[in-house]
Order: sequence, then C-alpha cells, then structure tokens
Amino acid sequence: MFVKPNPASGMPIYVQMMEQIKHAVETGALRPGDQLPGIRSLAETLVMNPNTVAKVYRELEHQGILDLRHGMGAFVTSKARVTARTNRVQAAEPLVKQLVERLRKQGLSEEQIRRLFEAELIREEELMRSAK
Amino acid sequence: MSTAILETNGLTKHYGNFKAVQDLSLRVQRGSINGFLGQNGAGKSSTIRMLLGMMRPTAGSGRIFDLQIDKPDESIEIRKRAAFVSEDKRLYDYMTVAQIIHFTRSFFPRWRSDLEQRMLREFGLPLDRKVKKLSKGMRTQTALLLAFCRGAEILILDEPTEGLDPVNIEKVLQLLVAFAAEGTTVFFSSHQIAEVEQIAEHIFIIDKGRLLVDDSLDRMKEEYRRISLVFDNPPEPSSFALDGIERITTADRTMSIFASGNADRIVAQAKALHATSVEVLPVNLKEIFLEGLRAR
Amino acid sequence: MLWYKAWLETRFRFIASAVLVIGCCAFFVLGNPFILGTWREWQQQHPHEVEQAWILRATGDYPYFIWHFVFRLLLQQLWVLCAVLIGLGGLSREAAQGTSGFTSSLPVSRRRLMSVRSAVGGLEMAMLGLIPSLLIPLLSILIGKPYPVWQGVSHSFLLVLAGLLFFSLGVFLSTIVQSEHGPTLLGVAFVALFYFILTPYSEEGVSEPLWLRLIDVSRVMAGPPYLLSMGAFPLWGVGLSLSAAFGLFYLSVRMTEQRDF
Repeated sequence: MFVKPNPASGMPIYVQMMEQIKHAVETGALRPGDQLPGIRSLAETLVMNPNTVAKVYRELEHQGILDLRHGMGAFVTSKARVTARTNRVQAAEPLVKQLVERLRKQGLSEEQIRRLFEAELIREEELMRSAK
Repeated sequence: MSTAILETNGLTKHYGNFKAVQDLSLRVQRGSINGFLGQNGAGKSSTIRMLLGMMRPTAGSGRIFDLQIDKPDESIEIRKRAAFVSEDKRLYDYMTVAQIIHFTRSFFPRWRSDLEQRMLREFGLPLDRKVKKLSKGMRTQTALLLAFCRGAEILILDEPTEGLDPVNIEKVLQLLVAFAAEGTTVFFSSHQIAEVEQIAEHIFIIDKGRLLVDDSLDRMKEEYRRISLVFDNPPEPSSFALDGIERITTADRTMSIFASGNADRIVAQAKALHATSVEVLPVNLKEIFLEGLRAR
Repeated sequence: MLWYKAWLETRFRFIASAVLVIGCCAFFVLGNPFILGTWREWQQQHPHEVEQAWILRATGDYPYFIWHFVFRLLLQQLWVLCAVLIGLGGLSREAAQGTSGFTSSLPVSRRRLMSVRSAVGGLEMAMLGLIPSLLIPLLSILIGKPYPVWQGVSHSFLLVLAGLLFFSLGVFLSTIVQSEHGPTLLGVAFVALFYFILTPYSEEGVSEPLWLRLIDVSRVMAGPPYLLSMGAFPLWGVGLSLSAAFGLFYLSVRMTEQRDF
C-alpha cells in the first residue's frame, strides 16, 4: 500500500509518509478501525528509519488521525477522514496565498484572478463529465 | 546527565604536520541511526580508527558507553559490546567463510546465530570457499556478517556498502533499520549520500578534520533553503547580513542565497530591498553537503 | 581460537621446515657410510697429505660426526633459518596485508595476540628441534651405528633454548619493518651474514676474537660434542641467549602496543 519515500527530495521523509497515510485515509484505502503496520515492520518494508516511522505515527496521533494503542499498534480513528480533509484545507491555504500574491504582482486584478480560478474549476468539471 | 552512547571531546589527530582530525566533539544518541559524511581524506576513517582503539588521539578524548577509547584495557571492553567495521575490509585469506565465522564467534558470547543464518542466505555466501577467492562484494558482506552477528549495542561502520550492488545495498540498509528498531545504535560513514539520507536521522559532516554539520536530518530539511531572487538593481551581498546565510551567489540580476535557516527573515529582507521575484526552495542532503564544502 | 589462527598462519612454514629437518637428518645418518667412504678415497689418493683433525675424529667417532654435521652445522643453520621465518608475522604484517582492521576489532589485547602467536611459534620450533633427537637414533640403527637417545635429546634441548633468540628476531623484524616481504628478506640476509662471519671459526681449535665470542650463539647452540653432564651444559651462554630472546620479544610487544594502525 505504501510507496518508498524519496530520500533525495527536499521534503523530509516523515512529511512524505504523513502525506501518504493521510492520502490513504482520504481515498478510503485506509478505513476507520484499520490497523497500520507495526513500526519495525513498516520501517523494514520501506527501508526507512524506525524512529521516523514512530515520529509519523505520533504526529498523526496528535492530529487525531491515528490512535496508538499501547502494546497493540496504530489504528485509524473514526474521524480520521474528516480530520485529514480539514488538515488538507489548512495545508492548501498558504499555497493559494502564495499563488494569489504572485498573480497580483504580475498585475492581475482581484476580478481577473477570481475569473481565472473559476474558469479552471469549470474546465476540470467538464473534462470529468466528458470522460464518463 | 546525557543519554549519549558515544561522545567525543576535542578529538584531535595529527600525522606530523598533517591535521587529520581537529577538535572533534560529537554526541551520538542511543538507538539512533547516524550518518557520517565527508570527502576522502576528510578524517572519517581516522575518527573511526580512534574510536576503535587502533590509533591513539593526539589530543582530546572519547568514550563509548562509559569507557574511554584511549585506554587500552577499556578499549577491549568497548569492543566486547561495540562492533566495528573499518575501512579495510580484508579478512584472513587462508580461512574459509565457515572458518572465519567459527573463529569470530568464539570471541562473542552473545553471537546471533539466527542473524548469521539469515545473512548467509540473503547474501548467498559460500561457506566452504576461502576468503581469498571471494569477490570484493562478498568480502564486504562477510565482513558485515562478522560484525552484525556480535550482538553489539552499537555498530560503528566505515563505508559498509563499499563494493556492493544496489540490491545488496538495500539489503544492508534494511538490516541496519532492523537493528535500529531493536534499539541498537548505528553510526556509519559513507560516500553514498543517498543511503545516508534514506535511513539516517542524524547527520555529521566532516571536512578537513573539522565538524561542519551536526544536526538532525529532518530539521535540516525543514530549515535549509535555497532562496532565488531577482532584482532590477541587485544590491550588494553585504546588505544581507543575516544569520543563517551560508553562501550568496550573484549573476546579473539574479541572486541565489543558500541558507541554513532564518528563511522568513531573509525573504522579508529581500522584499524590503525590492526583489521582483522571490522563490524559496527546499534542498536535499546532497546540496547541503556540496554547498557546505563550497562555503569553506 | 587465537591459537587456531596462529597455527593456520604458520602451518605451511612448519610443515616445510619439518620436511627439510627430516631430510637433513636422514641425509647425514644414512649418508654417513658414503661420506666416510669419500674421505677414505681422498686419503688414498693423497697419501702424503695429512687429513684434517676433525675429519679423522669424525671418521672414528660416530656421535662426533653427527654432532659436527647436524648440531653444529647444517641442521642448526636450517633450524635457525626456519626459526626466523616462522617468527615473522603478527599485527604489523597484517597491517601490510590489510587485515589489521579486522583483527583490531576483536576484543583482545595486542599483547595477547602476540603472546599466543609466539607461543605457537615457540612450540613449533621445539617440535622441529625434537625431530632430530628422535629420528637420528632411529635411523642410526639402519646403518648399524648406535646413537644414544639422551644425547640427541640434550643437544636438541640446547639447540632450541639457545636458538629461541632467532625466533624472537623474526618477531622483532616483523614489528619494526612495516611491509609484507621486507622482514623476510632482512631475516634471510641476517642469517646468511651471521653464518658467513662465523664460518671461518666453526672448526675446533680456531680461536675467536672476543667480540665474536660474545655473539656466537651458534657455538652455544651446538654445545660441546658430548653433553655428558650438567657441567658441560653452557648455562651462561643459554641464559644470556634466552634473556636476549625475551628482551627482543618484550620490546616487540611494547612497540606494537604503542603503534598506530
């Protein structure tokens, strides 16, 4: 289910793993109540540092996505999907902020920026509809 | 009270006029995987030889567990609980693989037969072949087996994947990861930045005998940034007198700042100096390593 | 297992040496009739010349014959050469070969490594010294000239004790010369030179200058032709030689302990 993280990326491995797990939760590959592999097992399978795996699990527990039951393992929480989604929105905010700022610098007006975004979203919707 | 399993204090080694290791002070935490990077001749092997007790420091001290590395009696005690693989991975030519395993295990009461079997199988090592008839890769693998099976609390390895193909490198990394999961500390030097980046959580970079970097890999990736700026009228590099700036390169209207931290303030400064474009990019370990050397 | 390793490292040298020692003993015992015959022929062909004193004595006195050729000359030289060669090795040689990294990772002191190696080497040299003491009496029966076992044993004993110095020399050369083959060449050259200097004095009756007497371990190792009693045993010579052997060995250990690998 999990892909080996890319060590040469500028993104720390633990961030990559967190994203992978959150993505799995969102797409339904991981459902509430599912158990994740043990720390050692995941570390050996993906050939990554077990302390990093531990860090990932801890962080996700902190974010409410995983439940670490002592002696038993890591389980996906019931509200994981919702939490993941919320976090996604929060993560998207700075991206949008950056893009909007850039477009503004290029001289586009608020109206133009809004129209660009809407046009793009409509285009995507149409693409998906015609694909069916 | 430190939980450091290995610690050096001002470790120094001079060969006549040549300063191989200068004032090296580092701490290694128990149960962690540590990468030790540096160019050839930077002092990695000299450091490991001093830790092992093969070489005496010119100055400074070091301890593993709570034993001193420069006291011969204590060094022997260290070697009962710490496994070393030095730069020279040659083994006794006249022994077969089986014989040298038999020989080595006689020194280590906590020898791990299960791991021995696993490694023999995974690497396909021929028990009855004499060491001198082994390929370089198999010699390295045998040397690793002889170290890994000692039941040691810490592994100190000088280029553990030397001469191995990618498949076997991955197997070795997997074994190291398994060790860390059991609580064994790993300290390994390597030329292969990719391997280090894959499994190490803490990085030491040594250059010309001095410690350049001593930091957590995650923290480095969160803090180090390459900031690309474009100006209509590029300011003097000296106008960026901020902490964290490691190197500034300018070309025409562009300026590239390699920073070990403080990216936000640098970006703010750039904007204050009327930068027309500001791009903040993450960097990987290879870039940190190369930039670090260039900066010196 | 250090004993096992030391044995593996020296076994070929030991076996080769044993073969040579056996050959040397066999040659002089079984060849005794032939050699005496050659001397007789020479005397017959040169009736007006006087045979050398030692040859006359060796013709009539079989144990003397053995003492001269075996314990005084050829076997001794052979044994000494083997002693030096078997003494070579150790951590310094391993450094030249590249295996010192592995050996250094083992939880054993350098002192212990060297001691075990030297103990194995010493035992091998003792064996090589013992072979003649048993083989010569045995083979002598074949030519019908009895040779007392205790005579052979005492000479062997003397040879080994006084000759351990050369084994220590091998150990010492390996310690100070840090290359794989350098110590071997030096060792062989030293033995050759040593015997070259001493050869003119190897005959009885030829007196040696004092300085030579002090280093003539060869004479000590041979002892007098007959070791009839403890009185004849060159205690001082053996004592000095053994002390020098231990001294060289101790020096080698200390140097190895101090060295950076």
